[in-house]
Amino acid sequence: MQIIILARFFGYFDDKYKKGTGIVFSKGSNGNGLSGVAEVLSFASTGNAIPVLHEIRHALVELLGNGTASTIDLGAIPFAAGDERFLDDVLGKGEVTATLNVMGTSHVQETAVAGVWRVDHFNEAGETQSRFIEVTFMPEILKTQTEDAADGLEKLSARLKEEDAS
Amino acid sequence: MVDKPMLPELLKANGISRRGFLKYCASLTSLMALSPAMMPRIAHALENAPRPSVIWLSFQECTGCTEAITRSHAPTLEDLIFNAVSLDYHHTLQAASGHAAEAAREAAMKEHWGKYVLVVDGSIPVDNPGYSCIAGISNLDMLKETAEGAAAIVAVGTCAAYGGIPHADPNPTGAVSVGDIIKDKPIINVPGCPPIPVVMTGVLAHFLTFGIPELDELGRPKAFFGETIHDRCYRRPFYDKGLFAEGFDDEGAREGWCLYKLGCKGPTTRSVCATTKWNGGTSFPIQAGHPCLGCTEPDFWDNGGFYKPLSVPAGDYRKLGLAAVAAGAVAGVAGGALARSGKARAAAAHEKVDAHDLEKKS
Repeated sequence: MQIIILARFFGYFDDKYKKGTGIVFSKGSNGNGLSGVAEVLSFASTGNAIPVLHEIRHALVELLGNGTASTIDLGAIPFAAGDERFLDDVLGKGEVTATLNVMGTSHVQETAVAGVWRVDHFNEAGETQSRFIEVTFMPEILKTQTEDAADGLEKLSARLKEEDAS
Repeated sequence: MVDKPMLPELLKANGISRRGFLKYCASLTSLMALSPAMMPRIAHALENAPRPSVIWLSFQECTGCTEAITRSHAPTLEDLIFNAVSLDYHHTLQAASGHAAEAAREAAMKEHWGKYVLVVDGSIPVDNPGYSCIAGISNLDMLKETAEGAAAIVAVGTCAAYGGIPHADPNPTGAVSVGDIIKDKPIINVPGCPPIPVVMTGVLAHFLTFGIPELDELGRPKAFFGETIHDRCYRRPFYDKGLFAEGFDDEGAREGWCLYKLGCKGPTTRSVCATTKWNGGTSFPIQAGHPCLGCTEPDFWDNGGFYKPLSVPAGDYRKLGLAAVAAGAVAGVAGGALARSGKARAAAAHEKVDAHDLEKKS
């Protein structure tokens, strides 16, 4: 009962989630009070997901209108687990997913709203470093950087020289 | 300075690509609470930043601040950034000791006079300078001498920033902060017991890229101390709804409700603990179920008891702390006199508490 009251007090908690996930909000259903609380907390909302989605819409208008790319720092906004869930639900998963192995991993994913990308950076220990929404035709981090290409040229030339010598 | 490699060379030598550098800059921008649009400027500034000489002095402290800044889980670019400054003196970390160590400090001061960054952790005893000495030099003398040629001072940890635990009632050594003694240099206070490691490296990165950051009325960078822990706390919705844990093992505690009634100082404590967190973003005290102690604020140790709610009157301490800060800032009162007068009052009001009392009060 306690859990149901607690759950009601959180923001969005609509029928879709109840039906879609089959979650039953009672302690008895999973037999464990702590995991029940964790489950309910995963729906906790600060109400900030909707304004962020509007910001993304405006950024997309800018991108199409004059080609201006934008970045939204998700770490700068108080976000609870439920906000993340809502954002992911609305944006969905798109056609492109990339994993970068650079000082830990980075996940870059185009959402189902083309032009809107999720860029999440993790360190070597797998901990989140930063999370961004990029509204752009191509996230900068995916492009080969000029300096790295110059290094590549150096490397290839050296290897060819080694081949010639042997 | 010029004979030491700049950051791009360091990155290349460590096999880190330009893409890795951009990733670091993106995370650093987020950490410094700057607009993502500033990222290219940060990248440009970091690439071209000269590597300043840093002299790190440790006074009356527990070495927790140094422990914190050196404890990173894996070598990351943060370590490189730290390598990108030239740490010329740090008596806990350096191999040299005694006269050789002091010679290194003097050489660095002479070579970079007017340009080096002075980092201080620990408070300074002024009742009797002999309470804390390094190589026979009192903390007070060493601070004055080294501060004279510094471009800026970073007071790391609450002890250096506000006197911290040595300053706590009854302040047996007459401990004061760096700002109580040095009045003619820019001082950046980075309080915390200890400060969050990335906040320390973030402040240094900010200094490298944009110079002295914007500071609040207590001398703290606004980027890291602009908001209270309460503002960003994930338990905030419970506070807003009036759902509080009343004990450490009651139902409210188990369900993660707000810890305000258990003495949480989050509403009056400015820090990024709730967003940056500790141990590489794993958790922070409130997430672990303990109220915030308010360690980034002046006189946190005497601020009315860790387990008393903020709404319970805290006696004279809180007023005393504010008055001391105001008096120090406005009138430039000599640190020693301030510490002595505070000490007398604190000793008179000293309240002894044992475990049984704590049990009753919580």
